[in-house]
Amino acid sequence: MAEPILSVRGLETFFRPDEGIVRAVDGASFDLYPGRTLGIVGESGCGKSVTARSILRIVERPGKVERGEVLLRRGDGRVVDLVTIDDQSAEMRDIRGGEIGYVFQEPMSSLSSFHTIGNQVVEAIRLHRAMSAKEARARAIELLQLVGIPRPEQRVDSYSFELSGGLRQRVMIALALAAEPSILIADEPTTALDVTTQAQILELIRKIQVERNLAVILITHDMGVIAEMADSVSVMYLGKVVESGSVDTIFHAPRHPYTQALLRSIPSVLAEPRSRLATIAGSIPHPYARPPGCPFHPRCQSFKPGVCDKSAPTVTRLAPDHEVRCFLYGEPAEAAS
Amino acid sequence: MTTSQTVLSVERLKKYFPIRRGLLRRVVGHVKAVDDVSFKIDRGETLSLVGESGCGKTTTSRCILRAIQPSAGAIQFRTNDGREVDVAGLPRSELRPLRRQMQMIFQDPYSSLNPRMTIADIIGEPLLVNGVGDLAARRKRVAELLDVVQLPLAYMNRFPHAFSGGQRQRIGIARALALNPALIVADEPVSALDVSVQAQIINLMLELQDRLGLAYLFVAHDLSVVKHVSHRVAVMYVGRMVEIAATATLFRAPKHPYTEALLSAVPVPDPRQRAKRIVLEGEVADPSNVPPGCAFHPRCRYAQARCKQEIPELAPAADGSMVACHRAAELNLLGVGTTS
Repeated sequence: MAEPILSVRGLETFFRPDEGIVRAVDGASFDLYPGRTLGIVGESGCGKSVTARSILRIVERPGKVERGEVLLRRGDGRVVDLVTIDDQSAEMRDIRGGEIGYVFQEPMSSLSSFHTIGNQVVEAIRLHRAMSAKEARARAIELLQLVGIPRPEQRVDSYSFELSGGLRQRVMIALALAAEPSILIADEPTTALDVTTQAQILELIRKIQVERNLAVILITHDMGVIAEMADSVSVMYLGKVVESGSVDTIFHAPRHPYTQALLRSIPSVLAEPRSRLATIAGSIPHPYARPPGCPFHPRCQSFKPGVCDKSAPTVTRLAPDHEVRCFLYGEPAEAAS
Repeated sequence: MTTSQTVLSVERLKKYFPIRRGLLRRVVGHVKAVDDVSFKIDRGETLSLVGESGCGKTTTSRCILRAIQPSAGAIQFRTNDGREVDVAGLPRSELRPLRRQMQMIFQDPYSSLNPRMTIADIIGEPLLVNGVGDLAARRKRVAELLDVVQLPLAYMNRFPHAFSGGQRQRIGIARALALNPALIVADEPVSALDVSVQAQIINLMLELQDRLGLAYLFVAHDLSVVKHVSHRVAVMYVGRMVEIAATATLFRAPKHPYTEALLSAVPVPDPRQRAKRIVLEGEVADPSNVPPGCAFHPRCRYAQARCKQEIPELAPAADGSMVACHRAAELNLLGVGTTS
């Protein structure tokens, strides 16, 4: 396979409010390839959104990227580590939006109500490309057309509040693509939308990905969306990537007890009507009260006392593209004592 | 025809919101939020209302609870002691005793519990408001209810902030059960919860129904969840009911093209079943300016000339489903789970 366009190695992002420390991302590693989709899946508090914000260097205080590397292969072939760049610098601003486009969950609050959608797209284009206002406007109309907005030459002058949720999310995608990035990070891009609109937006992302050989990071809590879209998957729980592999491996040969339990507990349209669901005992711990050792051990069916609650498991490679962080597959490091 | 098992019977329910314009606030049109909707729910049965946002599913449930006054139609409700009540025509002053029998579970477990009240006070409030028992009796009932929703008794004197989303939703369910209701209206009760917790709440709702014979009106947009909880499913589009059928039938053999498209849009949690989707073009119709004929015809792949003129009536199909489509008999639509 080709060289990865983005490699994240041992990323750690902590929040240090007065009350203590929250290890929002605690050692995430993955590779992203052109034309492929990496799905990051997990429940609330697992660190999937903070991972995206860490890559873009827009983590809000008191959060901070503490360790790790985010290696981006830029358009000119140079590889830069985004963690070492000043997050306010011209270079980072150039990368953000320029090389990495991003789409967030709320299309309602991410767009300005004071500027027309056309002006917002024009601004995004001219921030990264030297273009006259007239050229940029023509380009904005092209982009609105690309993302499937009907009558773009008229819609370019409308305001975001005049559009439906689905159309707003299309505008967000047009904004993300304005400077022709090579990477698109989409954080829960369809969560606030109806299923039919969700299907339209996912189809659109897929179409643009093929046309532009775009590398996509898709962040979601929805296993259905992951199954639909991803090539490879990283499953996160309380800041840790607990398992990663190809989408087929994750769904058909999952090895981590959390991945297995999560897959069993999701409702499916293929299930028998009124069938009970398998559940995961307990609930996700509060971030301040993270369990010691493996963070999943209090809810785990394969919990080994004296092992899982003592030390944190490291990554075990089961196959070239299948990694898992669990003592069932790797020897506990110093648990023997 | 209403049998003694029928808890709720809704006939030709309509809710139109007037659109007012100009200095004199003249009515220039109506938003037909709910337009001619009929259905029944039996004791121990779950009926789900599904559809896209703006289809009128929440407005329907709010009419039933009389949170808003319906514009037309009849809502017959049978109380636990067998009395028939016409909910739509009841004067405001007589609503309180009725609401003891109809309870609600809300979507957001974070904003639906008063942060200044203890769990015991929250669950006991419906008892207090309705003057049920003395303090000791109410305490006892709260303890019972905590047991029913599988929360430890020790939580009684804690405040909501100490609980996770799933635990809060259990508290909301306990409060809804306090007065032994006959009907529970649950509007998106699990959509704000994490997957692993959502499963616990779905199972709890199923168990409580079997044990207490509750009738549920379940309003949801997630068809996977709907499949796990419903006996029957009603699909709404721009204020009208387009199909109502037994759950297994609706998913396996939908009769309305809109139902087919909805089912096709649901992502299946299996990468080996990445099916070719029917992606609906365009947007949901504007309920203040509904297209003539069948409201779905501008987005329908099977639409013919007739669909643009005549509004199809909800009519029985061969397998007991009810469907509002001119071409229902001739179409052979695709469901889910038919491949395996």
